[in-house]
Amino acid sequence: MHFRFCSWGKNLTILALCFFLFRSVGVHAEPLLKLGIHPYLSSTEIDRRFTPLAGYLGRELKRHVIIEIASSYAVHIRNIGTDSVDIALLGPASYVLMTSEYGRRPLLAVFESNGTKTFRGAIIAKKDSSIISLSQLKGKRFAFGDKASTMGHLVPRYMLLKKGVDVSDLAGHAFLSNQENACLAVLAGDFDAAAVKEEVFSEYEQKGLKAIALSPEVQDHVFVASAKLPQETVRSLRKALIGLNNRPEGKQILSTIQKNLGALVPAKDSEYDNLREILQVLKKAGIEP
Amino acid sequence: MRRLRYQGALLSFIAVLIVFFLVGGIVIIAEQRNALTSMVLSHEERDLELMADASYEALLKHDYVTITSFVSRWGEKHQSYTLIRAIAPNGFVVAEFARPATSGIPLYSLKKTVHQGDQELLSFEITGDHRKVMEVVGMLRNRLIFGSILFSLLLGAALWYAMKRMALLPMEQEIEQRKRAEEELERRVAERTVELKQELVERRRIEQELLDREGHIRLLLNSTAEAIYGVNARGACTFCNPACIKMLGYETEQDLIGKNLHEMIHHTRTDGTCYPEAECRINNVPKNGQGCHVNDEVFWRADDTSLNVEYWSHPIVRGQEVIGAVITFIDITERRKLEAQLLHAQKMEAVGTLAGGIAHDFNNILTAIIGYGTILRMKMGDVPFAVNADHLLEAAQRAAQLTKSLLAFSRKQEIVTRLVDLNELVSRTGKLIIRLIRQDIVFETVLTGGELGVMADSAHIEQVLMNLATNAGDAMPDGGRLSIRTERIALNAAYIKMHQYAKPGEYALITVSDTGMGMDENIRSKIFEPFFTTKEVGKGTGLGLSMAYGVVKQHKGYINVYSEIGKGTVFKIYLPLVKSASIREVEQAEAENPIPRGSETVLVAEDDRSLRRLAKTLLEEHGYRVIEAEDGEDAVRKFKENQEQVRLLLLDIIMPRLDGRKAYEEIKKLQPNIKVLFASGYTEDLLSIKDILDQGLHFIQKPMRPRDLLVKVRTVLDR
Repeated sequence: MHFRFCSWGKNLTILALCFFLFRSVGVHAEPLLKLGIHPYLSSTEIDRRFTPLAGYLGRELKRHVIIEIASSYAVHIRNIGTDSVDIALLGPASYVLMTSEYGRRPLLAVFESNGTKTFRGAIIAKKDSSIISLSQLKGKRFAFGDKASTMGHLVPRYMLLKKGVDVSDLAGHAFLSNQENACLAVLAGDFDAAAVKEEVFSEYEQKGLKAIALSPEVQDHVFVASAKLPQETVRSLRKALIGLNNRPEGKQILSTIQKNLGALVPAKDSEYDNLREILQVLKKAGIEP
Repeated sequence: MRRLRYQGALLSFIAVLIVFFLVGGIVIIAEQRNALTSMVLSHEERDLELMADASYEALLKHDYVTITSFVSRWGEKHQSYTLIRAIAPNGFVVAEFARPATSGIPLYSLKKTVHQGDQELLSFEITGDHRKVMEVVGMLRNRLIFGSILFSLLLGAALWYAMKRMALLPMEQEIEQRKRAEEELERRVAERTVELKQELVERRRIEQELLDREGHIRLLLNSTAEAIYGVNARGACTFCNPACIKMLGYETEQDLIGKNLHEMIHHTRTDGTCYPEAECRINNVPKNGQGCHVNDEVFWRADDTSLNVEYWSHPIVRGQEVIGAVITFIDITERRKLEAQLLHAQKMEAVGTLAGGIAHDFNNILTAIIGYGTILRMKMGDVPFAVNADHLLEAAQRAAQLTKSLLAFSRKQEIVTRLVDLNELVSRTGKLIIRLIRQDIVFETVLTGGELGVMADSAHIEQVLMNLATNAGDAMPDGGRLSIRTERIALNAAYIKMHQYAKPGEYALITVSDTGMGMDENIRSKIFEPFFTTKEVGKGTGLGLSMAYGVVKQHKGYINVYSEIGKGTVFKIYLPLVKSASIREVEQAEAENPIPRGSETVLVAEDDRSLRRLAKTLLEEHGYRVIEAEDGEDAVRKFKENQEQVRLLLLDIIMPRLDGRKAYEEIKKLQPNIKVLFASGYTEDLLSIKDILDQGLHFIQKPMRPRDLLVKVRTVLDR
């Protein structure tokens, strides 16, 4: 009896192993790819917006692609800088910071919204607020986005700096976790003004917000590849991303990431030079992400 | 049916149980709902507290996205929330989750404000429905209903089982027994019903049969010409048929039913004497139980006239008792009358036969007397005693006339009928009658228009009229009116029945009426009898009307007399009319020429020797040669012997051995052209005479006058 039981159990174990082994090899033979996203939105929202893209890339590269949301912009920059993630979406400031700290990484594609690869930030206040210019912000409470956010903190700080307004002139300021909170906090009356991307402002404008000032145009978000990825994979990724808008499901995937995102187009590092200059100005003023 | 009633009771019981449990359940549900509602509210408040607490950290970081996400997830997880709002102190709705409310579910609202110290950070408002409560209540209700029904059914079934075992089963057994008994009873009733129906059918059949029989009897009673009635033991009428009512002259049966019929219709005898009820043969039938047949009594009609009846009475027996009698009667008045007429006719016939027989012999004798007397008188010449011979001949002629009347009455005389216009005959006779009757009698003839053709012997009819006129004259000694009227009349069946005439048809009626003394019924009934006379002895022969009767009968006619004392007498003579375009009566008055003579040989065959000799003598005296023969055979033989000489045969019709006609037939074979003259004094064979006349042969009636014989012989020879 004992002999027979062992024989049966052995056979079953082998069968189960074969089943799971062949199954996983049949779907994705290569190791999985990590798509790193900076926490510019809530995790839920980021997960919702990027899951279709991850699926698309997985099918194109025949590899499993997972989303990894960094806990902060700094962590996110470090992750790509240390090649902890295989692909990363980087805000413009984050890219500039990452390149300055860790060196350049292969550029895959940049956002093209409304036919352009650039975007702007906005200084906002409640529509019924008396504030109409940046200089009026002195003595007011101000909400920033993440400290490393291009349009949540760095470019607006540059704009305030230009107008001679320092955070010390403010009645108070806070770095909120994302730009949506900045909009909502202004609406809820927690702050008198806030800095957000123009796109985010557009979403909340009808709830009772107005733009006091708009930032200069800056090259938009960019996908970069890990330096560890083989060239072939990088090419495949670039090809997949740049040709996305021509795919049947491309428009849907793009609009899910950002409403006005029309395509992903080839990027050049030089296109971030104006932002590098802004960051240099801020750095000189002692303002760093 | 009873089972259904029990099941109904069981169902009612279960229904009551269900209702009881349901009411209880409703109370429980209501209480449970209230408790659950309180519990849910308490739970939701706690949840709200938790939500507020959970949001506190995020609020401190102004992390409204988390709050929004939290509200959204919170709402999605809780189906009972219809609205969750996170409201900033400035009224801005930071987050909102809403779903359409399900109608019919009660709602509740809760609010919780998050503070940081005294500072209000955010308020959470929740509007939710008691979905869970309703679900629990619904489930509870369903379970309660199901449980109530199940429990009721189980309890009902258990109770039913117990009740059935303990109470219903014995009751059902008893009911079953009763049912069986009822079925048995019903079966017997059904059987009896079938029997009763059969009996009813049989009874109806019998009733119908009885009705049919009654109908038949009623039909018989109603249709029969015989009168039928019934009496009970007391003599009271119990029923009667229409013929009875009609015959007795009543109108309805109510006129008779219940009445004592003896007193009404049977009270007097035929002779007019009282008929006591005690002697009534009808009423005695129930008493002695014997029927009777009576034909010599009379019944009395409602108008107090009587009718001769013949009746049969039979007892009606019921069981052993005779309870009445049924009487059938017929009116025999007419029969009595006919019987009387028949009797009279038979009497007349008998008298006629007697008279005819005597007259025949007398005729022969008188023929001899007159013949020889005439010869004697002729030979006497004018001698003084010749007057005696004249008286002798005159008396003999009267006797011959008398004999002729007798023969006429007995209808055994020869009549020679021709088509005669009766109007002319009456008119001619009237002229003679005027001379016959007295001056104090007014005579008139009233003749109908046109001709009245009858087959008649003019001489005889004239004689009848003369006789009637003579009688009328005698009946009017103090003068009066005598009229003879002719008319045409049709005798129909009814008239004939009333007057007992033989044949219906067209008749010529001669009415001879006088205004004389008339006669009573007794005389009237005997008036046509021979030798019956009311005249004094020697004045009448009593044969005038007898002769008239005989002559009219011989002419197939009828004579009738109506008379009332003091009012006169009417004779009516009916003679059958003959339809003819015109009447040619060739009746020439005989010229009284001298007696013709001859020299031819005549063979005279006559069995009566004296008559044979008389003929021989007469003929020889007038130049003829005569060969005599005693009978037919002798005549044939003599003719053979003298065939060349004989020119005429004078043959008596009735002779021994070979009669006149057969003798003539024999002789005719020898000489077809031989002439013949038949003679007969006794016309018993009228058919023979008719045949003779029809063949164009000649005939002479005996007793014959010598002159008649000689004229006839000459006439035949010269033809």
